[in-house]
Amino acid sequence: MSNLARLQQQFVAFLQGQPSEFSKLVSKQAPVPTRTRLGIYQNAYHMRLRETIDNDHPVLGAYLGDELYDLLVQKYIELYPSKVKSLRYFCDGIPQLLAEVKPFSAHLILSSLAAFERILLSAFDAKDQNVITIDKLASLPPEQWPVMNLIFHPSVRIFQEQINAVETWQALKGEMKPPAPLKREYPVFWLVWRNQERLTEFRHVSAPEYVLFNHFQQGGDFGSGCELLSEYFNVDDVPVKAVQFLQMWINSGLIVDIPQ
Amino acid sequence: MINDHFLGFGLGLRIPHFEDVLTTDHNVEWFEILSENFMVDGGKPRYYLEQIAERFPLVMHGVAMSIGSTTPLDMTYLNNLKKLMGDVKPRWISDHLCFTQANDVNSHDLLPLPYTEDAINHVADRIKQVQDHIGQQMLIENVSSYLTYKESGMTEWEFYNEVCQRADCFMLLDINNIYVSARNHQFDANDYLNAIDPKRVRQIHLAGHTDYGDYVIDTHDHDVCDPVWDLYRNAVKRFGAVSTMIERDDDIPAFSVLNKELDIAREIATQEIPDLSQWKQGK
Repeated sequence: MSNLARLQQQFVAFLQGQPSEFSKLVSKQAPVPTRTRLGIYQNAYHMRLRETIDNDHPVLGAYLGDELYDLLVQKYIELYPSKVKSLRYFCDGIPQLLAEVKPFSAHLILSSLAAFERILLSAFDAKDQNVITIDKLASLPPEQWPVMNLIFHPSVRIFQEQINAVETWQALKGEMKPPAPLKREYPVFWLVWRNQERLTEFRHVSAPEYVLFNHFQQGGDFGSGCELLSEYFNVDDVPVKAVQFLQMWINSGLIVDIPQ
Repeated sequence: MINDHFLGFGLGLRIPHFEDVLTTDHNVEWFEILSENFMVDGGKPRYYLEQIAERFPLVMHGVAMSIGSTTPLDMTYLNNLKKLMGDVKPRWISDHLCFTQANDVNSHDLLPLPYTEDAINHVADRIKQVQDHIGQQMLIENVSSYLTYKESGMTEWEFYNEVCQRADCFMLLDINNIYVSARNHQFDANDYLNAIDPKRVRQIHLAGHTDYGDYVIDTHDHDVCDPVWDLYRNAVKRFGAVSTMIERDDDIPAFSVLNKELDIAREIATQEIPDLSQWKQGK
């Protein structure tokens, strides 16, 4: 290994607080002690990563309180050193840490809350694409309806919760007392997307809406989607309900194409 | 003397100023974007970037190339950079004379290199590889530093000149970084300026720092201080009119406030180069 490679490895190991001989490679320069000079780099390393967590997870931070939040920051920087060039992605492992590492793992709400904050961020800078208007649906020949597919906007995501994470997020965002954690008997689904004003929005979706959405996401067509809805509605009502979902999605700017 | 590639006086483009850049009257002539902030698929930052790129000259400035690392160049990053260059059409791109990655960990900090012959060869080779990949010459910026290595056998400016000479790249000279390092290592900042090869300087950065008495930290959260303005005046005397901008990354003031600060740079440059008052972008 070259001297340069060794120096770089020792420097980064030092920043991470791992065993390192780095200080032996550094010149003494009065009047500032070497310890102070090294400390500037170590502080900067931790501060920059901490600021990234602060910016990405303000609601999680409010929920945890100062002491637990400090512990999270310390553990995350220690256990999940940055493997990414852009700090935009540094916090992607936070939901996993919260799910796996004590004392956080004892509280399912924490991982779910963090995952919701991350899904909001990922919708924020997803790819841009023009959306269709309701006219496109109206102009579709009747014979093409059964084989119609949908392409959703790249920002559209589904957040699935097993515990009341979104309700908790909303309360904390509004600076109100969060509800007690409540495990869901069945998964609850939320639709997340970036609207035409480039603001991130989300809303609850019912079970049939989720089933139809998921069907289209997987490339299913309108005809077979209607069959799935017959599990939830009278057969006579299914086409109307399905069209209502489509209209709602188009009007919300969720659809970019209707390929046949 | 007005540098051939002179763009005028610019600012680092920051999120709180997106609307002001497009909707207010101002005399900022160009903007520098942080490349990594726009390596995303879409959304608000890319929406504004597209509009700003249509109206103002842009340059791209990176913090993550890690040109000094001993691990292989990150080709995914370089491909993303090239793709962004295709979208933005910057006048040029730049990154720092440092390393930011080792042990498969990114420090997200600009870590100094030892000033050795080995490091010169290593970095110059990598800059050449990057330039071959992107198909154009790039700019390399001097960083602030808080320590020196026992094995360094030359001054920072000798190292910087030699790297740029061997790589045949340009310099992005950060005047504040020279000041910060001069204070931290007790050398004369003018010795640094006077040793720099004038024909390689294509851009100048100005910024603020935090002064702790015995040492100074490059924080980009203060106004440019008087000693840095003095140094800038000397830089203009030596290098002529070089595209100059202010970087502000923390405690970011209103766009109009930064405009006024930029007027100080404009005034200093015009005092030293009277022809500049007649200069107009595009002429």
